[in-house]
Amino acid sequence: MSTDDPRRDEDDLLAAELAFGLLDADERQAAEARLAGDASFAAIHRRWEGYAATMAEGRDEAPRPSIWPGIEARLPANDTAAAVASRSSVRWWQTSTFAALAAAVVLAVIGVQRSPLPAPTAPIIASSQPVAPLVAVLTGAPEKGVVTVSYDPATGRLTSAPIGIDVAGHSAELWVIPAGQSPRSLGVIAAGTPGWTRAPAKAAPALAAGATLAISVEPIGGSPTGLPTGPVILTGKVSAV
Amino acid sequence: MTWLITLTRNRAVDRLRAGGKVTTTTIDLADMVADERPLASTLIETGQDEARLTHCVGMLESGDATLIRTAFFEGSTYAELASRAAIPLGTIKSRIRRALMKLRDCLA
Repeated sequence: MSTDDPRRDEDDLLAAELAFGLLDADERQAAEARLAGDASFAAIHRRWEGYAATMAEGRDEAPRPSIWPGIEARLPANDTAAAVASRSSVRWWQTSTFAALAAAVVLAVIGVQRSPLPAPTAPIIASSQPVAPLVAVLTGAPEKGVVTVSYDPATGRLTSAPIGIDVAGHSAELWVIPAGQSPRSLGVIAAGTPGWTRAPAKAAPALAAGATLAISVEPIGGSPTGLPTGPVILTGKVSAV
Repeated sequence: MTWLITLTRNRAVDRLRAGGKVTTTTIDLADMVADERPLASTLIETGQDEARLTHCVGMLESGDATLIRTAFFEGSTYAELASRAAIPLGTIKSRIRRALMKLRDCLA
């Protein structure tokens, strides 16, 4: 069974193939490039990643029990040995879940530290400390209109309110440009109505006071290259409220 | 949790690939005919998302479920799955794609 829209099916399949790691290197790079500029494709992909990750959480996919002693030996505070000796199955699952989580964190940290790429920022925000929202007013030539953008770092929610924007037959794509770096896409924004989206993981860390936001005119659906290809019509600086 | 699992998996697969390690163990689909669906009691214990996913994966033909799991957990691409399961690439692609659509429709 499938939906009536074959394009939607194709996008769904591609997103699933990307999330489950079925694509070869070239196809994967092409699909990943689309994530940056195509918000709806990125949303479908996130859903599939969720399914894949949920599969990984499934208890029937837990690591072999023999993994545990190795992890345990590497933990600095090695005080859970007694719990491991207990053969109660609930206890076993608790400890192995903890071990798997600890291993995942360790791997993630090692990976992030060794990676030359900008580290993905974990959406971990201390709930006791409210984080100031960020705002920017994007302006250009008077006839180009104005777009107000706000970003809530706590939720990752990016809101845009355009006034008088006309990109007839094209898409308006929002970019964040960290000082001295290349632009990162924040996705295509609705040119006629206020809207919101989640800031893409690759671009969210760049959203900070002082960063420059820009809107460029792109083909429908957003830049195919991951970098602005059309004229930049509006720019503005991000400031904390 | 999702981002952590995804990030960890992708890093692990990237590393294996960077080291030139590609799993080539044969996948024997004929062996996987047993009903792997968990008992209803197990479904109730687990989270709802997980239970739904488990249910939907259980609806797939067991060989298809094995292929999807293998792709994710062992980082095998279509091409690698095809050679490991000794099935032509085109067949494995259409088979997995059909299973993915089934999975989507079941989860929708």
